[in-house]
Amino acid sequence: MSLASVMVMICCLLLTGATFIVAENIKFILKNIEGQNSITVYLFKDADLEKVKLGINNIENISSYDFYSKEEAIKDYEGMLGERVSGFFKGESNPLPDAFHVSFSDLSQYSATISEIMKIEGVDTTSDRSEIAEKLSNLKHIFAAISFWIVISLGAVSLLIISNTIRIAMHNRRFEINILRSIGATNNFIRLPFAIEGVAIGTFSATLSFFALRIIYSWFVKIANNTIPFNILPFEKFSNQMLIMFISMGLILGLIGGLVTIGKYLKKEMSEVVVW
Amino acid sequence: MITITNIKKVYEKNIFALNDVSLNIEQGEFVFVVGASGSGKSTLLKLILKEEEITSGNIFISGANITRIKKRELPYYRRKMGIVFQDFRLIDKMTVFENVAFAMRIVGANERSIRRRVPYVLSLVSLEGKSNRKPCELSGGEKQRVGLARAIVNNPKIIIADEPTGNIDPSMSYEIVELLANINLHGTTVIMVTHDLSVVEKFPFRIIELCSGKVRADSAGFIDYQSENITKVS
Ligand SMILES: Nc1ncnc2c1ncn2[C@@H]1O[C@H](COP(=O)(O)OP(=O)(O)O)[C@@H](O)[C@H]1O
Ligand SMILES: [Mg+2]
Repeated sequence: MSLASVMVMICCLLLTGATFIVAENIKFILKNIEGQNSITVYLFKDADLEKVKLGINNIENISSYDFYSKEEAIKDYEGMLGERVSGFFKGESNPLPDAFHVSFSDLSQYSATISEIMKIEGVDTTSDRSEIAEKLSNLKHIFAAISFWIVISLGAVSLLIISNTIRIAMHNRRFEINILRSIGATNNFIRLPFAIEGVAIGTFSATLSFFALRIIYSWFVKIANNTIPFNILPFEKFSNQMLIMFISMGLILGLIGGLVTIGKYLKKEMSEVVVW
Repeated sequence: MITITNIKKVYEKNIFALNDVSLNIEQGEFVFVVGASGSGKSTLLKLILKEEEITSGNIFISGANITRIKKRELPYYRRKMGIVFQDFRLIDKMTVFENVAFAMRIVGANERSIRRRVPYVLSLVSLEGKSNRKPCELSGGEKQRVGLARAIVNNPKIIIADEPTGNIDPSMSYEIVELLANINLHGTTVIMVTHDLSVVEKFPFRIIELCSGKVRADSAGFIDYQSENITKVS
């Protein structure tokens, strides 16, 4: 079994797997954002809290709200920044604005409600996530297109390398193949060990890739959960799908790579069998 | 058994390897094919084995025209013949036992019959003690006996041997042909190509001489090979 074909195959599978994971995560984040019926309304430093409350009360589509002070906000950041840093920003030097958490009753009036909120005096901005959602969804499409071509071309390279590996294996064993043929072995009999080799390369690479991806991803999840304000799917969410996908890709690439090469080889280079 | 009618084999435009050869070989016959190098002996065997296409003419085996055999039927056709090569064609990394056994595996024999049959066949060629040796540990004569064992293990109707004594010690040549003669005694047709006339003259078998792709001489009819066979063995 050639190291090169296993390596290329692993690269192909890892990239395919990474693509799949990123796509799944974007889908997951999008769903979260779209399903979110609460936003944060940030106020100017000098805003009159009571006036803003009144304004919010007047908007029909708001089902509930609660105040989210800058002190609370800095506390929530403590986990991320560490106590020493956050302590630095406490009291007068707190750079964060006061805010309200606001929930909507009817999500379909999302943008209309947002613009009503923006009209309230003292409101600076809202954590309007619809823009992010739009960007993410664009990203998803671009990403899908790019990854499609990456996967296709890496698949082709894998096929090429596997086929080359098997051709070399057959060439090394051409003497045996010759004997086999001249004493009446069928092509299937000759093919079998080489087909098995192709399949072995495929499944071996698939298994290695699966575990490699699992390690890399859980390591990535640890980092992401501390830095990105979105939740990321744990590997277990798609480990079954991933394993099936990897093994079947490995099998198919290995088998096709093997069989096509063997077929070609038996037809071409073996046409004159016995050299006396 | 084997009827050859007016076969021609032209390799390239002007190379007439065989030019209008007709022969009839009976079941159970032992035939030496002799002739100078390049006279077409190997080509004749290749045509019988369907390693090469006949340019014109026909070969019938047991009445069946072999030009009609389809590509995918070829392996099954070859299994009816045992082939012995000048260069033995053993697989170096396999033991003597395995070299013979894999000919049985090819035809899908089960392990039990392999374990029973291979030692028996090896005893026929007096190699029962060497079944775990590798070919590289054997002498030329012994290697060819492994080749013989492999050729007969599937009970072929015909044995085809192209210069089976060509690569071995002349003193061992006689022994190899004697083994072939013994196999022939059980009814197997043997066609053996050789240019070792010193061996040929020690046996009472039919001799066909090829010269430039034509049959120059054929001893058929002059020797009663069947009865000679019997006297020779007794
Ligand atoms: N594959 C081939 N292509 C072209 N010419 C060949 C081929 N095989 C044999 N010949 C030619 O055919 C003739 C007969 O060859 P061959 O049957 O091998 O003779 P022999 O076995 O009696 O020495 C020779 O002239 C040889 O050069
Ligand atoms: Mg020859």
